[in-house]
Amino acid sequence: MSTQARGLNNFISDLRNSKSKSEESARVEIELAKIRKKFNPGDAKLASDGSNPSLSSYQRKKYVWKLVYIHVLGYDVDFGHAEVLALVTSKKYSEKMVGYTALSLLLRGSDPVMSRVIDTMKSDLTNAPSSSTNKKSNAPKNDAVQCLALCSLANISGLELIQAMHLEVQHILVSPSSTDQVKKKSALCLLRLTRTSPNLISGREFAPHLGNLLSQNQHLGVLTSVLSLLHGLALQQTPSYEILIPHVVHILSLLVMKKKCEREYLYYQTPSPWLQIKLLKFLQLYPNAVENHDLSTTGGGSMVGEEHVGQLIGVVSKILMETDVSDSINKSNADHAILFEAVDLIVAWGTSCPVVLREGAMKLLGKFISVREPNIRYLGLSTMAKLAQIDEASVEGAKNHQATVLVSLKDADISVRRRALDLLFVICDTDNAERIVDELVAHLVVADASIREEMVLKIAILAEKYATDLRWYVDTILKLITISGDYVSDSIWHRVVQIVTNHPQGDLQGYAAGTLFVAVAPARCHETTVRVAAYILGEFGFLIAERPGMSGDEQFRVLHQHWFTVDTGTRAILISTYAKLANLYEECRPLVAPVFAKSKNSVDVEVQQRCAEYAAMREAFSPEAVEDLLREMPPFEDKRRSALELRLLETEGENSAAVAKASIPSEVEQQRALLAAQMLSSGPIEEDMVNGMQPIEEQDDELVSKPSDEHPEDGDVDRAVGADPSGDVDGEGSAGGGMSQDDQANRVLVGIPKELIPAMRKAFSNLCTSPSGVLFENSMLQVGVKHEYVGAQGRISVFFGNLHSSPLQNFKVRVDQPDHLRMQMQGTQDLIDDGEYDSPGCTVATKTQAKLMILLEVTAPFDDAPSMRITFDTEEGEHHDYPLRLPLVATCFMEPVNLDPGAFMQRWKSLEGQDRECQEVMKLPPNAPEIDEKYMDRVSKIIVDGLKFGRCQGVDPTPWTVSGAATFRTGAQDMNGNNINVGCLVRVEANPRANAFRVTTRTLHPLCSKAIKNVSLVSIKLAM
Amino acid sequence: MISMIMVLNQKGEIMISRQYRDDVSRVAADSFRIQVIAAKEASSQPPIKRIENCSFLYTRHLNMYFVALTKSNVNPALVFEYLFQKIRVLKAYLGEEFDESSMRNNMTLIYELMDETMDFGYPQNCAVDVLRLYINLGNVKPQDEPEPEQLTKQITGAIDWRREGIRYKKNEVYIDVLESVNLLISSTGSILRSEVTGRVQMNTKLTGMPECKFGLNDKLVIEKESAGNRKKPGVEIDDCTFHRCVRLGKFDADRTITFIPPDGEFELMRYRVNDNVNLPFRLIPAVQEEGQTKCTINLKVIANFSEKLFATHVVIKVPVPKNTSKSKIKNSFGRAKYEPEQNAIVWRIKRFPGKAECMLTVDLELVRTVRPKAWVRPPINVEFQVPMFTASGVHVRFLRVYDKSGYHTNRWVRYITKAGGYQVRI
Repeated sequence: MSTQARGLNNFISDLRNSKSKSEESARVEIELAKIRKKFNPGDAKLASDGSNPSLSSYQRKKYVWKLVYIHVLGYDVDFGHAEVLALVTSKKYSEKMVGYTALSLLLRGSDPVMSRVIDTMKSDLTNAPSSSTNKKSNAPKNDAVQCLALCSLANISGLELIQAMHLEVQHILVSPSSTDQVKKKSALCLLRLTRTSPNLISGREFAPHLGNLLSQNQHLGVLTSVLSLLHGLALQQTPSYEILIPHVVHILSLLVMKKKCEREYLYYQTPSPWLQIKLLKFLQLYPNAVENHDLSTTGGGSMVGEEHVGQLIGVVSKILMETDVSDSINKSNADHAILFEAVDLIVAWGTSCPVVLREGAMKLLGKFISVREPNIRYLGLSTMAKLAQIDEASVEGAKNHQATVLVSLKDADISVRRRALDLLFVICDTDNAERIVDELVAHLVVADASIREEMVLKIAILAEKYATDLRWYVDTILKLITISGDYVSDSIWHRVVQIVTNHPQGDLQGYAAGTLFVAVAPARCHETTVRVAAYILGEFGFLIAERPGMSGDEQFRVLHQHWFTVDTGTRAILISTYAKLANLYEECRPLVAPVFAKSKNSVDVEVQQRCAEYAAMREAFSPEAVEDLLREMPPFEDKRRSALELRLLETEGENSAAVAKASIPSEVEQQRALLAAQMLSSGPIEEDMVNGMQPIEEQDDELVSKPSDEHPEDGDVDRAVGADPSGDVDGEGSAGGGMSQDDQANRVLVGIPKELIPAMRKAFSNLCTSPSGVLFENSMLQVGVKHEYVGAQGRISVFFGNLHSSPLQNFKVRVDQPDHLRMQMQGTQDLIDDGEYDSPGCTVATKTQAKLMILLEVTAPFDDAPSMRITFDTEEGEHHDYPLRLPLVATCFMEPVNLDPGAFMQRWKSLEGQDRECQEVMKLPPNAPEIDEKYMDRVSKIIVDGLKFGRCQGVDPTPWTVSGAATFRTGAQDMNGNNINVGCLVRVEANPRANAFRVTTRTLHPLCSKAIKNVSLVSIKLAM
Repeated sequence: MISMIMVLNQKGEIMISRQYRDDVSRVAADSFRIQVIAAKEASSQPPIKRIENCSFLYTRHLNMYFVALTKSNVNPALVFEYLFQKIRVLKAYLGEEFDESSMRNNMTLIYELMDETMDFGYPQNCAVDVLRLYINLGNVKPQDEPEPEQLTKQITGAIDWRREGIRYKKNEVYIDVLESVNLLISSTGSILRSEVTGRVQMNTKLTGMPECKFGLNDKLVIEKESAGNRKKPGVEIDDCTFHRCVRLGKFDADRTITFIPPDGEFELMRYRVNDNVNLPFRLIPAVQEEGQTKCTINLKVIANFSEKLFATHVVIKVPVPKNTSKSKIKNSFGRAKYEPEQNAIVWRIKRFPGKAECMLTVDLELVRTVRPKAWVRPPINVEFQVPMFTASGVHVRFLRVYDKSGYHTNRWVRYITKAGGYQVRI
């Protein structure tokens, strides 16, 4: 090579020898100028493809090499493409090689010149016998040229190229005449292409070809490449490739059981570890593979045969058994990599995995986490955390290693400590909570600053979750504050306050007040302690005022000693506390008054305002009113997902084991919630209520009391707005029926009965304007909905109550996620069917309920409600499938706007126009009540309360019109980062003589106008 | 006042540090290193950084940081002036481009200078010509050293920049007026920026303690003197700064420049002129891009100064597109050449007579690019020197030297105008 291109060598050594960056770039510029000159034919003409015909082959190659080198150094090269193309189209292999290399480096898929190479590339790919006519010795070999073309195709991967070439690549991959080398390249090339443009390949059609490749090909290199492709494809369309599991299992068993492997693929006696790992990774995509096998014995047609499952389990257990620590570090690295993949596979299988395997894995991991080598221990700890999540038994297994894990908590390596903490968090439950939390608190004293914040957060969550006695919880948090107060975030102490306030039973509040009094008594304590103490003493100080040394003025004294050392935020809290103390105890007033008087001039606005207001309160209001204002706070609204868990989610990301753990409520918590519910409800507690059915029962009554006659008109108004059962049931129901008859002949499919539909429409319309109610009810199931909205965000809780005499199995809910909504769902385990994998669904026992909570944010106007599909099986073998719609309509996100008549009319006029306006006249049915002023009052009440419009007083000259204005809030942001809002105006005009209404809406967005018009019409009907 | 001066290298290691007060420690260098040097954006950061009650005021020379530390509320202008003076002194002693190694090789000298130029955090005499009287190391040649007694008298006296008893056979003063012209012309030919910055350098070889009076054709002065009779109007001079020997009080009162000069070379004043700048060269460019592969540039240059004068070292850089493959250049005189490393046609003319005109015509052939990009068209850059010409029109009206002995003085005046940033957009 060196003799061939001396110029190139000299150039490179010149650049290497240059002393500074500027010297180098000067040299490059000179070289580029020279190449430009050479590529310019001067007076001669350019060849048809734009290259300079006077260049010799050697020169052309040399200059293109130089361009490539300059490009690789990071300089911009944007000429010379004609010469590159000339090289690519050349017949000689050496020129082709240079050409393709330059092509994939210098050019991009989007460049216009790309279209000129397509033909050449295509013929190079399909190549075949072109060289046979050209019998010279230097004629390119077929497969080498094919490889070149494949490589540069993969590197460029422009859209146009992909469209033109992917069929050829597929063909090469499956064609029996391709050599192994070409097959390898084409598999990888195809993988690259499908990554850049997904859905290029239809899995259903391509899977059998891949199956052939896997079964017929014994070349491990090809298999490895094909497996990479397969894994990539299966990530995109998982179900289509399930049929390949037997092939994969077969290959895996050949490798593991028979150790069948060519010599060059043995890596320290391990047969092709890379291939093994890819195989295991692929299998992880199918968590139900083993479970299906159980079904198949009962007669269902499963993809995976019994013998394969047996083989697979055998392979996995062999991997578990045989892996051992060996002397060679390379060997053990390879083996451990395979082993951890295998354990991940077990984790992916979850509960469907044979217990023996799980126990074996747990035992093995137990061995790993006691090894000295930190890498292995790290992997062991994190895998064990995942494994422990599967079910109770695994947690029990992991608990045996608790002592070892605690040792890892003191490891020198911070990431190992993190994993250990994570694992402890996962294996913690009611039995060992106290011990683990105590250990963690003890360790916190010596813990490194970098892990402290995380530890504090996790301890706080554990203590809250598993505290059998809430006093212990309060004590623990207090300990946390004393040990590392700086890391106790606001949300942690807010949670303490929340819990103490919400649990009046027992002596928790008094205990907390007493403990905190003692905690703030010393002159020096952490500011967070002062904050909690200030709040708690303000609220519950009266519970301990009778105790010796803890009277009201003592409480004031203890708190006030910190006044000068705390910051303004804490002072604001203290001021509120003082106000409350002064309200309760006569003797505190003279103490508090001077503090208020002084702080009225505080620099901090918050402190100033609080002082001024509390001081003025006494003069402005009657003593009773003041008393009322300073009463204890009402219990907090219970949020299922506490702020702490959100923090955890923020810091760890979605996939962490800890987050999954934290979101599942513990038994203790459930009991506590139950108790709280009992305390709150005044009525007699029934059996149902204890199980959480109570809200629905109540709503039910409400519904009954409302008139339930059928709507006279239910044309497209309801279709657009409300439940659309007729269409859905007929269409999808029958389709679903057809499928289930094929699959499960013994099942009976039940949809929504026709006679229920009117009642459902009514329920839906009701729910659009009221915060809670029943969406659907029959003899089996009751679906209750509670929803609330703030601005563009909303929270919908859906309760599914089982009214049947037997449990509902495989209970699944699937909620459509339309583009205009951002949703986050959370619910009873396995309830949500997110469509990604085949979730088994949960079981709802009789007289209990499942719960689904959806947090959502609207990003664009819309006019139809998202659909929700509920499916479940009864013990009688009926398969129920109810398509419903969530009562989520545009008016949910309205915010009232109060406009004066002038402004209203001005906007009303400015929005005149075709698609901004929507109008519809509705004639009331003959049996409807007459339109009178009371009727109009009800209409306006619905517009204001239900649709959340601001009534524009004064715009309506007669009692027969109602006008309103509102803003539709979305969470989407415009270019300046402000949220996009849509202003909406509505006007309802009644014609009592004709007994008809005309609804006109004008907004900036056509969809918005339509949606509001529809909802308004429905609500006018409701007002009847 | 300043508590410590330190010099750090690029890695943030202390090369030199001198503590003047003990309220800061050398450990402070660590926080400076972490917060300023390691932050890697030293150039865009403000030159003052406050870390834990300690202010760091710093400037750079090559890759060394000169840092002043203080805990008190100092006048930052004073501190920076001191730092700049310090660098100037070091340049005089170690050469213009002194670097880390020359600093290390002259430790003792530098500490000596540190001690002389600052005392207990207060800046002291930083004049090089004074310092060199008693610190004679490095580049500074030992002079005929005055008697210690005399030296003390001079340094502590009222006129510390000149010692008594200097004698010359021939009394001479050399005055150099050096100007540099900055110009920016838009592609449509309108002047966006034009200004002249000038310096008056003096070299005095005078006997005794002479009193000098210096006069320029300052507009204010001329209008006052020649109230009534129409003479040539003077030049509006802005932003004068003077050597410290000039009596500023007198200047403020009647704008006369009087001083007792230091012996030898010094810079008497600097000034700036914004209006009525005489541009020495006029450039008329014309650029035509024909399609993607051809481009023609025509440039006409006219010398605006009188034909008695001439410009030397004229270099005109005409930028060309990056994908130039071939250039055909025609020019009337000088040498023009395509220099790819500068992406420009560089036209060099050794001697450019006044009032002359010359033309340059360039035909370029361009290579087709894969992704066509519009040429950004950087400005044409011109460098030149015109002796005996001032772009601002400033000239020395008089220099009077009064001495008790009343000797005769020879005065030599020289003018040079150079190009600063002289750019024409195309």
